[in-house]
Amino acid sequence: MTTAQVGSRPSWMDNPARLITGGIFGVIGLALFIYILPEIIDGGVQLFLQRLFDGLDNGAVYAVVAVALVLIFKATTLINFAQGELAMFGTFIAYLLAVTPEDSALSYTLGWAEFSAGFLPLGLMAAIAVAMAISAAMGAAIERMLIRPFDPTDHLPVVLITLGLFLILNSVAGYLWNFNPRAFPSVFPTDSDAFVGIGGARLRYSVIGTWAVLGAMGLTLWFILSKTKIGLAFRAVSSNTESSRLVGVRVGRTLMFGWALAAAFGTLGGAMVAPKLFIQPNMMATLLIFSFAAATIGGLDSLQGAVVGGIAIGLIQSLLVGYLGDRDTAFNVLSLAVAFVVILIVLWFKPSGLFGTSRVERV
Amino acid sequence: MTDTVDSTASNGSAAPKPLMLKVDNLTARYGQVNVLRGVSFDVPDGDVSVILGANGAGKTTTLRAICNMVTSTGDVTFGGENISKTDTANIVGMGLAHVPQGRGTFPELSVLDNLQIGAYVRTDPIDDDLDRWFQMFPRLKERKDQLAGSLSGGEQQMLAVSRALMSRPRLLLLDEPSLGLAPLIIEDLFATFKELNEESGVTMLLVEQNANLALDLASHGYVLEAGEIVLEGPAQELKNDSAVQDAYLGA
Repeated sequence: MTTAQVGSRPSWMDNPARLITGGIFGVIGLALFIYILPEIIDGGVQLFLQRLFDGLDNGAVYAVVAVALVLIFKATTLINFAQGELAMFGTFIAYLLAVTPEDSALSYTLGWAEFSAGFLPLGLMAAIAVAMAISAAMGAAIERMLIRPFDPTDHLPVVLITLGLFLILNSVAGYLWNFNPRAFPSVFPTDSDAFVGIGGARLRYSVIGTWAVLGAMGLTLWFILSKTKIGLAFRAVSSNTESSRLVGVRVGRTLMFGWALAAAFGTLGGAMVAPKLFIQPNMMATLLIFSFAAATIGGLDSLQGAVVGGIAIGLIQSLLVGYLGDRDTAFNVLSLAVAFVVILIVLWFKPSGLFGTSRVERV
Repeated sequence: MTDTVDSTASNGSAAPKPLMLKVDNLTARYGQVNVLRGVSFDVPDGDVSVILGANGAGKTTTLRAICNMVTSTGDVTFGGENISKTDTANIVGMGLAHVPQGRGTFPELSVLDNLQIGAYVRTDPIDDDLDRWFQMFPRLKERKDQLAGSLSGGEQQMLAVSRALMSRPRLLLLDEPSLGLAPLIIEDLFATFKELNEESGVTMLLVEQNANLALDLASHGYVLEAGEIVLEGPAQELKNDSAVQDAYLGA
């Protein structure tokens, strides 16, 4: 019996080039830590808690979008570059459904029909729910029309399609709704006194709410994947597509379900982050990069990993920028680079990510 | 062109059994290579039939063509219905289960999940079936929460077979179940097949290189060479046939 290992721990000791790269990143990490430590101590507990809460806030949103990325990766073993734009589109739909015309001053023509925002004013939560449903339908349609016709083992065409979708969705949103940022209402209380004081730091209700949403999403996903038939089929397809067909699973339909789920959760993430970022067609660009980082750290095929990765990225970002941004503005600008460095460090030590399966199969 | 070992015996006098599977003039190609060149054979209801052949003879392709996993021409009739244009998922739903070569379990799923997905086409309760196959393969019960990828080869083969049986098939296609297994495990496995066939009446079509055991289990055999059936007959007669002995039995 032979044992084949794919994506397992590298024999990095044998490879001087890797050793040097790893060393460099290790030194950078250590230097940042030493640099930041006195700042944290000087800042005191209150400031630290505040940074922590901020990080958890961003982290939850990264986690939601990273989960959507991981769902698609598990289904098709590829990165959906259009995930962020799909979420942006869904968030716009929620906006159009929720906001009254006076608030938005947004109207647009689509062919012969003129729509104005709020032509169907719903409560914000209902609007987000409807937008999630519409996004799910869009995700399913994209799988059916743009992904399924292509050979799933040939990744390049499909990756190019998701990149194309990214550009199309972005420019269509720009054409329909222009690029001016607009305020997006929050589901959670936003009054200046809507927080719980912990050790002098403010844990805002919106942060608790975002976490509740992440928790609810996790529970929903867990329930769907482990307790329902379609969830079992989804896990089967992501494990072995050919055997799935042989037990009677309709692979196409199952993947369509995965895309729908991912699109719906993406929109949920978009609606959570929109109150902070404002809503405009480019809103998801940086968020998507942090979510990629989160998913990669977690292992790309692990849903728990995506959540842990999201939190980690959120915390690292808030601590680095929060503490060092005042001292050196470079850290404000470099927060994207930080995400990249974190990816490199994690992948260097563990190529399959923190929670990813390093496939070990007996053959 | 097809020879029968002994035409008087194989065209037996008893009334013919109803056919579970009838394959008529099946052809398949990969690119320019004709893998199957007009294969025709029958699997009677309740019987075990075997297709023998060397590597590359087209055995696996035959099974894959039956469930429409490869593009093919010709007619496949299953339980009286022509399934040559039917989608694989629907064929499984009609009561045909396929244990692919290399077992085809779901390595990242638990043993229990593997069995549950095997019953995907069913809507009725499956607990009795789970009990039954756990009783037949106690090793699987011990490991039901383990990932299938961590099982040994023999355990994976047991899992693959019980997974296929979870759909309560009328016809079970087995693609080289003995591949890569130790001789003792192979004997166990074939004893299990015999038991399944006799007690549950599952019709089986077996593809094998291990001709000895396969011919002991089967009632009828076919020999596939370069995409054509070159010989067929009752299993015992094939076993005594000198050409078969030379080529497949190493006698």
